[in-house]
Parts: sequence; C-alpha cells; structure tokens
Amino acid sequence: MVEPIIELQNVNLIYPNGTRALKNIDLSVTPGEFVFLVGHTGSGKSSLMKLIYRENDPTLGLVIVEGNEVSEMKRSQIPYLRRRIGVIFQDFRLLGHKTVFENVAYALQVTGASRSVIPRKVNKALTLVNLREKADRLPSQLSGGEQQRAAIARALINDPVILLADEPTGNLDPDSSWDIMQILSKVNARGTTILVATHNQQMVDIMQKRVIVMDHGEIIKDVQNGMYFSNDNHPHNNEEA
Amino acid sequence: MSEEKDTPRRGPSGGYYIECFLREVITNIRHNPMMSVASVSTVMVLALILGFFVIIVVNLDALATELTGEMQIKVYMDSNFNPEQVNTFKSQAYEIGHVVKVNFVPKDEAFRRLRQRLNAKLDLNDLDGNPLPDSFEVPVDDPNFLEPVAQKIAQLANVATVDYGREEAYKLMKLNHVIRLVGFVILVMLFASTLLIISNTIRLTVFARRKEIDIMQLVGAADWFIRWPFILEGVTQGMIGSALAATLIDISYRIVVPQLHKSISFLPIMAPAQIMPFLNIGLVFLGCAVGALGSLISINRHLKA
Ligand SMILES: Nc1ncnc2c1ncn2[C@@H]1O[C@H](COP(=O)(O)OP(=O)(O)OP(=O)(O)O)[C@@H](O)[C@H]1O
Ligand SMILES: [Mg+2]
Repeated sequence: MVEPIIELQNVNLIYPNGTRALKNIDLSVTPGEFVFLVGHTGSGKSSLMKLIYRENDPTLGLVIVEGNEVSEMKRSQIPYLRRRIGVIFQDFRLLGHKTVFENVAYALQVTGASRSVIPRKVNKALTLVNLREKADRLPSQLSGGEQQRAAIARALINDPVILLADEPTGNLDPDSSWDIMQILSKVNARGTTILVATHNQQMVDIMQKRVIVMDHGEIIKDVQNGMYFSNDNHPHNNEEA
Repeated sequence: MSEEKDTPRRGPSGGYYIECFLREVITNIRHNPMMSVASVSTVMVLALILGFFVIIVVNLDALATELTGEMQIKVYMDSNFNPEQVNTFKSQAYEIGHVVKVNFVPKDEAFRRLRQRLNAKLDLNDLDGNPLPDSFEVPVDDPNFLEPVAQKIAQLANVATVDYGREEAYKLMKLNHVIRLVGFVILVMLFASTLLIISNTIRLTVFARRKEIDIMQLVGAADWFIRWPFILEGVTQGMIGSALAATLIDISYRIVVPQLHKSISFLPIMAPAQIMPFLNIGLVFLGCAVGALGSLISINRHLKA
C-alpha cells in the first residue's frame, strides 16, 4: 500500500467563537490523486484545507502531510511545508502592483532562489498555464481566468507535491473554468496531488474523479469516480465505502 | 518531509536581496511620507536631547575634576622644616582623622615633577637652586572634611600654607549628579515614546501591506525574510533622524565653544574634537537601534497574531 501524502485522523476544529467547523474527520489521500471536495456553503471545505497548509491547527486529531505531523511543526518549519504545497483561491490573491511575471517570481524570491534561475523557472510555469505573452501585464489588465492561471503558475513555481484549490472557478465563466480544470488535470498528470473545493456541479460530474462530500463539518460521502452530490440534489452515483 | 534537500536555495546572492529590500523601503517611505516624517523627527528630538545632556554632563565632569584636584590637601612646609620631622608630621596629621594617607613630597621630587610638567617650555637651569618647598599630599576620605582637616593641618608646626579644592567644586559635582539623573529619566521616557511612534509608523506600513505579507507567508517566506524590509525601514528612519541631530549638535558645539573660550576662558570646556566623534557615532547608533527595535515590535506583533 502506498503511504498517504495527506492524512487526517479524527480531526476536529472548533473556532475561537465556538463554531464547530470540522467533526471527527478521517481522510487519506494517496500521492497523485485528484480529489474534489464538495458540500454546502459552511460545510467546512475551506477549514479542512487550511489545516493542511497550517493556516489553522486542529482542536483535536492529527493532520499528516508527507508523513509529518503538521501541528507538531515548529513555526520556523512552516515555510518549508508551504513550499511543498501550492494554494490557489477564488479571489486569485495576486499583488496588484506587480506584473504577472513579478507575481510568479515573488514566490521564488521569498524562498531565497538565486537570481539566475528565476527567469527560466517563471517562464516555464507561465508556459504551462499558457500565459507567457501576458507576462508583463498587471493583474488588472487580465481576465479572471487569466488571473487564476497566473495564480496557478505562482502556486506551482516551487514544484509543490500538493496543490490545494479553494473554489478556483468560483468567479469564472464556464469557458475559463474549463481552462482551469484542464490545467489542473495536466498538473495532476505530472504527479502532483490535487484537492479542489468546488460548488461547480457540472465540472465534478464531467471530471469523474474522487469526490468527498462534506456536510456540517463531517464527511458524509467519499466516492471514487464520483458525481456531484448535495443533500437537496440526491445521489445517483456509484457509492464506495 | 524532505524540506532540507528540497530547498537548497538559500541566499546565494546577498546583494540582490539587499537591492530588493531597499527598493521596498523606498516605496514604503514614499507611500507613507507623513508618518515617516513623524518617526524621523521624534528620533531627531531624542538624539538632540541626549546629545545635549551628554555635552553638559561631560563638561561639568571635567570642570568638577579640574576644580577639586584629586580630593586632597596640599601642605607646603616652611624653610624651618627638615626631613627628619616627616614621621612626626605624619602621626600628627593622622590624629586629626579622615586622613587617608600622608604622602611626603621632598622638594627635589617637586622640582623634578615641575620640570617634567613644563617639559622644554621653560629652561629651569636658569634658576639657581630649587625654590620649591617640601610638601605633603593628604587625601581625605570625604570631601566635606577637606576644609576642617586643612584648617587643623595649617596649625601644625612648620606648615607654611595649605591648599585644597574649593567647596564649590563639590556642589558642582552634586549638581552634575542631579543633572545626570534627570537626564536619564527624561531619556528613558523619550526612548519609550520614540519606540512607540516608530512602531506605530511601521504598523501602518505593515497594515498597508498585510495582503502582501499573507501572500509571502502563503508561498513559504520565512519570518526573517518578511521582517527585513520593515526593519530596514525603521533603521533608515532612525538613522536619518539621529544623523540630522548629530550634525546639528556638531555644528552648534563647534560654533559655541570658541565663543565660550573667548568670554570665560578659565572654564575647561572640552574641545569639539574630544567628544564629537564619539557622540556622533553613539547618537547614530542609538537612532538605528531604536528604529530597528520599533519596527521589530510591530512586525512581530503582526506575525504572531
Ligand atoms: N475564522 C473563522 N472563525 C469562526 N468561524 C469560522 C471561521 N472560518 C469559518 N468559520 C465557520 O466555520 C464553518 C465552516 O466554514 P468554511 O469556510 O470551512 O466552509 P466552506 O465549506 O469553505 O464554505 P464555502 O463553500 O462557503 O466556502 C462555517 O460555519 C463558518 O462560518
Ligand atoms: Mg470555503
């Protein structure tokens, strides 16, 4: 059996204000998997992802990434964890005063990359997301889909083993969303483990990947080659334990 | 996780990073000119006041030392005194009390010292014989007893004159202590408020750039990488403020000292070259330190939050 790359054991998360965002989560993701995380708004998808890149610590339970317990890591080790995990969001989170090239290069600079490797690596990442010709534009001069592609290039620049995408197509039209999905598939095909939280039903149905359904902080369904599922949109897909 | 082997890229070209940081610092100061002005001027006020106190204290110290001599009574004997009476004098002097030591200075020794002090400036060979008397040096344990002890010694046999530092010198020393204390208290308060103002300035910068800091953390920047630009900004502000103050103090001292020498020439005022280099370096160093500390406080508060 392959060692899981992400593992959650009996994870519970209660926010300081008392909200129980995650309840008794057990989850195991093997390297190279492509996983959709679906569920109603407030069901805990973002909260779960934040535990993986240690934006938050679980109140109870273990979060293990590449065999290391994330909440055991010292503060000084967190940057190294983050370099192993790329993250993208619905709102892209690009720096408005930097060009596309600079935004992507920035993620390399902060790791202390030598100046000589930066242009080559950045151009490679921009080529992957098909954005080389627009490298010198500011984010405000790009479409939403292009901005998300720039964000993906930035997330991939440090060659992460995991890519977390929290509603990556939430702000995008269907065509752009499809572009993003194709890029994610391409990245996944190179071996990167991918976790996508989404409300995009059509996308999930077409992609035929593993689907984890969350509801009120719990995993209520976890199926391979699954379809989108929610409480009011009842299951018509092949279930697996 | 194999973080070590996967991140062999660490600071291969320091100059490049300094260039990046400096560019950030300049951008920040440009974005926030009023707060930068506030920081720079508070550091300047701090350094000005510190410099002022240091100059006063150092000069009063020198003056007091000059006036008191070495807290001892000089006893000059008359021509009837002969060296065989040294031990008698010593025991009589000790009986007075508060006498730490009684040190005999034969006239030959006194002449030798004088010649050494005058060096080649005066040809003492022109003198026939040694005009100096035998003398004693009598240090006391407390400056308050200089006068009573000296008066009693003056009444001993064969004493011609006694000489001791004036009481005013001790008053001056006490005043200097008070000035030092007051200066210290004022400076501590000023230091604290300067820290506060600088850390607030930097906090605004941190706030303005919180999105950027979040992204830096998200893509795996180490805490120190994030801190550096802010610390440099604080140091720059502290350095500019204190350098301005040091320049101002330097120029005014160089103008004032010759004037003072002209009007009250007997006062031993320190030459600018004697204190200014140390003072300037010290002030700029302090300015940088207060700037670094102030920004460290606010960026750390943000990072730990
Ligand atoms: N920082 C926070 N402090 C307190 N409660 C929070 C915090 N973040 C999220 N929550 C709460 O935790 C629960 C889970 O939120 P989470 O953002 O994980 O849901 P989600 O599945 O990502 O929702 P969406 O689909 O709308 O993004 C919600 O009830 C939310 O209100
Ligand atoms: Mg969410």
